[in-house]
Amino acid sequence: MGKTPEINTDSIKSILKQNRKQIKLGLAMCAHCSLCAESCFLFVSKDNDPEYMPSYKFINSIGRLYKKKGKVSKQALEEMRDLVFEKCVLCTRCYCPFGIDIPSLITLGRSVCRTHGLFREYDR
Amino acid sequence: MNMTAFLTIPSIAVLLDFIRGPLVWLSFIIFGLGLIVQTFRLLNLTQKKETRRLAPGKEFVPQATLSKRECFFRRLAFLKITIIGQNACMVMFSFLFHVCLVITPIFLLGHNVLLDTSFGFSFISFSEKTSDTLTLIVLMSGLVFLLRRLLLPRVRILTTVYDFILLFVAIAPFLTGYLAHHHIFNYNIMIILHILSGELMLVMIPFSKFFHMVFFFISRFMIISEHSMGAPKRSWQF
Amino acid sequence: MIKAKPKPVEEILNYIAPYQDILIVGCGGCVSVCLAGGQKEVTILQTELELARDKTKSTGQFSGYTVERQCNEQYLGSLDDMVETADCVLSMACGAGVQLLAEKYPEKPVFPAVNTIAIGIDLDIGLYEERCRACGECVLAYTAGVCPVTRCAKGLFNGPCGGTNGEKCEISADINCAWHEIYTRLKAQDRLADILKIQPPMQWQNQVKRTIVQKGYEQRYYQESI
Ligand code: HEM
Ligand code: SF4
Ligand code: SF4
Ligand code: SF4
Ligand code: SF4
Repeated sequence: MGKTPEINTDSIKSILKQNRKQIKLGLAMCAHCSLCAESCFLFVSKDNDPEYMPSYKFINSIGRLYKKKGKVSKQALEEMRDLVFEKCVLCTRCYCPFGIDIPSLITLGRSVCRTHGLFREYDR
Repeated sequence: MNMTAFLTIPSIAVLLDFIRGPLVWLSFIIFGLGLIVQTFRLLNLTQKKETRRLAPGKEFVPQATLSKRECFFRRLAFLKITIIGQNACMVMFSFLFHVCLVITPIFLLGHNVLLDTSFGFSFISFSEKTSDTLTLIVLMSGLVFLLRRLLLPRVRILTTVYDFILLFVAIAPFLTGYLAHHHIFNYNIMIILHILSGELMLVMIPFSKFFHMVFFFISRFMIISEHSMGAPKRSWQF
Repeated sequence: MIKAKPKPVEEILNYIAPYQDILIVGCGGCVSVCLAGGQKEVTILQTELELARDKTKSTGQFSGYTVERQCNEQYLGSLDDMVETADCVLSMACGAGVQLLAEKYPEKPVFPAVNTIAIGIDLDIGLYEERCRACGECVLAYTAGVCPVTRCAKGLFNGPCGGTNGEKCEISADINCAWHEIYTRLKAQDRLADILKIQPPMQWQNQVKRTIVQKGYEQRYYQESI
């Protein structure tokens, strides 16, 4: 596996800035109710592991980046890669009772990871 | 000094009059204007989306006609794919919680008496016994939410301190109202706390995750998505 | 991605009639995206089949499970035990997924539960349109990004047929002539020279199973390096 380049906070910030409204709305509206869990087939097939919950995935990737204003460690970004690439296949089927568009938020998490050369490793 | 005596200290009494009077109006104004402004801002994030209309294709097969009974059983069976089938217990408590949360204060005798003395009009009122039951349902559902947050790993992993605070803000007016009505602890203190917590909740609705009260209807009924209801014609415009 | 549609329930009922324990396997890939064979559709199909069973007073037990991708054996491991106890398998993946399941479990009947239709684009929620037939010799470079294989009724490579009807195809007034579109777009890009050269006919390879070796992996899979 290639080494993660140094964190470039500015490139993360520009993605956050471009999508600020969407991220903010998603974070503000999520009731942390966990009702989206069962809609993710990965959550179901991984024995209801909470880390596979759609809300957990977006809150702890793009959500965390937003709250920390892009200032995260390399290791944290690598963990986010696992959440948005390994723990989500972006099948876009998550259900939230409020209608939060979770897949779009996870996509943003993926965009940030990609700017740092982090994506899915199929041969892992 | 005893509590009732404390509340009659002149400066305290002025404060109480303020909480019972102008602050109520102020909260309602912030609540109303806040809702309008926030709803407008939310709508501004949406845009109209054209729906393609296709000529009727050969694949279009009219549905077989089913008897009413069959229809009913089909609907029932297909609840399985909805959140009702997947999380029945939570949906039930959430439904009870929300319905009671909204209707209890509106149709409460005590509130209507206040409305009547101020404006000369009022809504119909529930009997005191009904209101009592509805309040208990809110409190019980609130307890279920709390226990869920504390006990279920899937909810706990998402929970922040703010979630507890907001749950408390939503429950507090009901708890204090119930205690006041039944003269548990000091009535005068309770009623003040009741008014304050009610005001706090009103003010927070437009500016916290309670705003889902509007967001829910906009995103589920107006935005096109797999899970939308009705005939939505808009999409997000981020 | 690949686009598919669920098969009519009646058709599926015919396949599974002789069997008791039926396992429905969804796919979290393309068919999930196009709302044809993801976890939710697995539950829908299961419910439909159970309703049909109860209506005809027949027997049959159904269970459902969704894997990440049915076209890669790596993701099928968790199915072993479930398939073991099932009498037959209904796969909701595209044709590729169905076939991989059938290969992996040759002793079990594996039936398709969706009709795999096309490689297409998402126009709207639940609305997709074909764009590519995986012909294996992509010609989009000289056709201004309009696929003559998919979009031209006759799959012509060197300009329109004699029946072209202005902007429309002769087979229907609802269909745009692909070559008209190719021409207009190339003209606007000042690239008309691109279609003056005669393109050799397509070396159709559909008859044999095509194997795709991704660039960089040749050494690994070909006996003699190329
Ligand atoms: C009237 C329209 C409203 C609708 C349609 C609505 C809908 C919902 C929905 C769908 C949820 C998702 C989670 C669940 O089912 O519990 C929820 C949660 C919640 N709602 Fe509402 N709501 C409304 C109004 C309100 C108001 C006015 C308040 C409080 C002031 C409120 C307080 C809450 C709380 C505290 C939760 C979170 C429960 C938890 O801790 O899990 N809601 N609401
Ligand atoms: S269902 Fe929606 S509101 Fe509830 S935790 Fe998931 S994303 Fe948040
Ligand atoms: S998009 Fe990701 S999080 Fe949502 S259901 Fe699919 S795999 Fe789960
Ligand atoms: S099995 Fe078919 S539908 Fe599933 S991911 Fe593979 S190609 Fe897509
Ligand atoms: S020419 Fe058409 S069918 Fe062939 S690969 Fe290109 S887009 Fe696909």
